[in-house]
Amino acid sequence: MLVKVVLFGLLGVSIHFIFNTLLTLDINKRVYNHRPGECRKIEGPVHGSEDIEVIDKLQIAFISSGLVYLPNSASDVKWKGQIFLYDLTKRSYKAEPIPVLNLEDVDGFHPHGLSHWILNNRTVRLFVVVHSKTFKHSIVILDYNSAKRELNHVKTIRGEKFVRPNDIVATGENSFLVSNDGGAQTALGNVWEILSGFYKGGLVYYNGKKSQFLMENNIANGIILSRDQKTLFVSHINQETIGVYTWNQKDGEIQKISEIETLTGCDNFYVDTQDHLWAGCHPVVKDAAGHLGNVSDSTLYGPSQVLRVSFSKDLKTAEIVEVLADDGRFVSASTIAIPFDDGKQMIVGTVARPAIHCDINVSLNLY
Amino acid sequence: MLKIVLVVLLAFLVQYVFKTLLMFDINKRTYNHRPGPCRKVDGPVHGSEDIAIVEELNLAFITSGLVYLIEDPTQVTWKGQIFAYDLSKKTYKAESIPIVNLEDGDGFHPHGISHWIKKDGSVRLFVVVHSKQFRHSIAILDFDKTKWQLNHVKTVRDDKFVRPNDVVATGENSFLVSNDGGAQTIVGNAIEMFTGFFKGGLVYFDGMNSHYLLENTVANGIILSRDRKTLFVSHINQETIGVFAWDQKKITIKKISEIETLTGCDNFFIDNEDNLWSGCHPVLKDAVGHLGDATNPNLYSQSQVLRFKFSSDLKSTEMLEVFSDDGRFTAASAIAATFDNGKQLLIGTVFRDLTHCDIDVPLDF
Repeated sequence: MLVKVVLFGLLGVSIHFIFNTLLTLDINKRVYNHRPGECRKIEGPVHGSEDIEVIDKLQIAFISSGLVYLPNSASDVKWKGQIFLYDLTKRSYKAEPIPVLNLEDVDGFHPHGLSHWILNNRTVRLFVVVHSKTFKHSIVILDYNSAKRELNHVKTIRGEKFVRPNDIVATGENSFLVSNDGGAQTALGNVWEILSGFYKGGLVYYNGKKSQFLMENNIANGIILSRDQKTLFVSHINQETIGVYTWNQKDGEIQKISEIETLTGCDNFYVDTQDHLWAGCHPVVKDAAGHLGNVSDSTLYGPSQVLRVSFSKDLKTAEIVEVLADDGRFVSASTIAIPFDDGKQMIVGTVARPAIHCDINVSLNLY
Repeated sequence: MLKIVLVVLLAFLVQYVFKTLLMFDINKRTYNHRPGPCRKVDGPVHGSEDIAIVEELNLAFITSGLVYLIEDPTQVTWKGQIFAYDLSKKTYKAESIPIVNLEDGDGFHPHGISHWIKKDGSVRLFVVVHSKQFRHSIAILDFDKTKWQLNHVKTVRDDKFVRPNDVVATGENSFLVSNDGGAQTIVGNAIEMFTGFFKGGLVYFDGMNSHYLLENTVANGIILSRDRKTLFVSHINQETIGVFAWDQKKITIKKISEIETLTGCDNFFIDNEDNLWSGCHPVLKDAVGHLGDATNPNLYSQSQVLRFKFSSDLKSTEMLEVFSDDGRFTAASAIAATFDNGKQLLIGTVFRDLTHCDIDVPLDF
């Protein structure tokens, strides 16, 4: 009798698990294409444009390219990690790779998340999440020499708390926040982590000397601070939510305000001049997983979605507008979207494919 | 042996519940976007379920005041009307047009609409009509442009018009009618939906007799291509669009393809480039909630406008989402029609007002 009860309980748990897994994979979802205006591909980055960092004052964008993510073996990595520079004042639709000088390990430079800080002497400092071909992780600090148009290596920081870093937010000349998007270091381990729900990612603050955990046993993908540096936005991509936290840099702590359900896997973030949050998202997990599992196969692609999230004053609710949606044939697996030119233009980056540049011909303020 | 039967039953039950939950779109939502500035059109407040655009007159006819699966006629506190909207001006105001000589003025609740240009150049409207008791008929009305009124010509009733939804004119006295189910009550309709034993279909009325073309299916919106050779049928509950070759001489249809949309597309419009436009219901659970209590302003459901560009063999299509709303602005879109060379768009809803949008984004890429 007890055995039967246990068996029925197990059966119930199994059915529930399978059900949730199928829903998580978005088996009954699809993308319906639309664009906010004319869009074109940007020449230059061909193997990824995973994160983009816009320097408002210089009207340039840095694009990280050549991401390595949960590789099966180092020999699979046939592409080069690069940082591209794109001039936002011209419609050149062409980004140039920028030299990175004095790197410790040139061959092992595969950039992921990007952030920047303006130093006291007006120099732009880039903070880059870097993986090697063997998927070792570090944070690389580079200073941009605008006269010579090159990036100079300043420092590489490694830490055991950088478990599987994804994105980064600069909080000072030598301090930053880093997200860990999981704990597993292999594709198989990652699948297990996702299926079991026992996440080992989180959020780390490095104050220039030491690192401390702000969030553990979670998933944190894209992270960004509001323009006033007081609010932190965290993409809990596997739960399809955006976490909103107050950030107190003096005390090195966060406090949760709200969690916005999106029903789509939002990746990296950008906060515009009106404090709207922009995100590149993956609306259909099963297709994104297929594409990202074999990024070199050009017949595989994942749907793209650009959302603009506008928060209420108390940061507890949000209005979401979909700026672009694509089934993946034009822009595959979007990760970041950044408006510029007073919101009349936009660039969209992808995990492992080219970036695109769009005009925005419609109003996004619907309510 | 009994255990095997129980296991099979359990397996069937589990997959049935799963499919039903997916059918209700429990993990879907809409993300708002518009193709340009949009405004409400004054006039139709209790529905704008179908639109017929008469390009020759730059005029749109809009049906309003739908009655659907009503249990109690006293609940019907609204009036059935047909509105006319001038497409050459941006008045954002549609006028109710008088209908003269109706058999039953009080029992006129229009649903699907289609038009035909007669030999003398006048416009004839074919309208699916339900009474307050949910009795069905097809009303034929001629538009008198001078007096600005619709003159009742004929009412056609037939036992094959089981639960008519939409109509397509094929001649001065002939038309195709879709039945979107067989049940006449809400409970019956729910049973039909849950069991999958649909009793709807497609009927052709040749001017004298009616003929079944499709049976035991769901047919919602129907429309013919501009060359009158291809019929598009919305199988709304299966979330597909059926594409058929239509032979009017032989009164036969032949299936070409079935397009999966993963959304409940309602009525259709064909633009002058032979693109198919539709107003859709992307989240069924919310649509059911809203349509089940249509007079409750706190309930609303999502709207979606899709444009389909078919391949030349009509076996595949490119789907473009032109408009999407969570329902607070436009609730439960049922029809979308473009005009002004594709630069403007009208969106009709089942039980709410009409939306008029500009289209400022590229639709071909």
